[in-house]
Amino acid sequence: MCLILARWKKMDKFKQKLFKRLAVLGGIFASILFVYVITLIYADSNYLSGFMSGLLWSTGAVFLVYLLRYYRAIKNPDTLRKLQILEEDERNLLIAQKVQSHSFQLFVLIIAILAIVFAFIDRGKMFVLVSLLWIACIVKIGLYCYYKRKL
Amino acid sequence: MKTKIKELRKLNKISQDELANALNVTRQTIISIENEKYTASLVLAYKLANYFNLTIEDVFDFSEVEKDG
Repeated sequence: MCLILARWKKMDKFKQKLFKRLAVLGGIFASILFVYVITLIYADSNYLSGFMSGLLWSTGAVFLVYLLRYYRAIKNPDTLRKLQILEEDERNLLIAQKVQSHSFQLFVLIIAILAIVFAFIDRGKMFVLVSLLWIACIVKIGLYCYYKRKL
Repeated sequence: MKTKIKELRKLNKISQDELANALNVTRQTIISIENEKYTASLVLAYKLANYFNLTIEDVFDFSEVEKDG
């Protein structure tokens, strides 16, 4: 009985989490829509309105996918539980962590290689890439210091 | 890490899906633990042992860890 109650409470908490996520996504979509309308009215640049239009459509598509996914989960307790298990499963979390860490390392490596290549072609682009490398290093050191204190 | 989960599951006639559902993990996690591809966290190891009413040492084989020191 106690176990069922605990599980129900956990599911309810997860449901609240989904509502919050939808609210955040909706907020992002609404603000992009607002900026898009402003650029349509005031901006003369075709490039800017084209960029905003692309941003609006891509955010709209992401929002729609998550809206449908979360709506189905909120309406059906079985789907909600499946989604909760899928998101909270420790192996899935570990995989996500590893993917993020490896993709960051790969990103830094690619930027470093590109910086070396652009040193021979275009100095301006090389400086931009080196700046990106510096930012990546600062972010990594900052996060390392944060987690060293936290954990 | 070697485990006895597969044997215990078969002994108690429990499917991977049922075990995964009871422990709030995916079936793939159970498969990976059984195939020694993934080492369960302390919490999941405790939950697994608790599910079969055994101790963690009964479910997981720590002999390789002991050898490493």
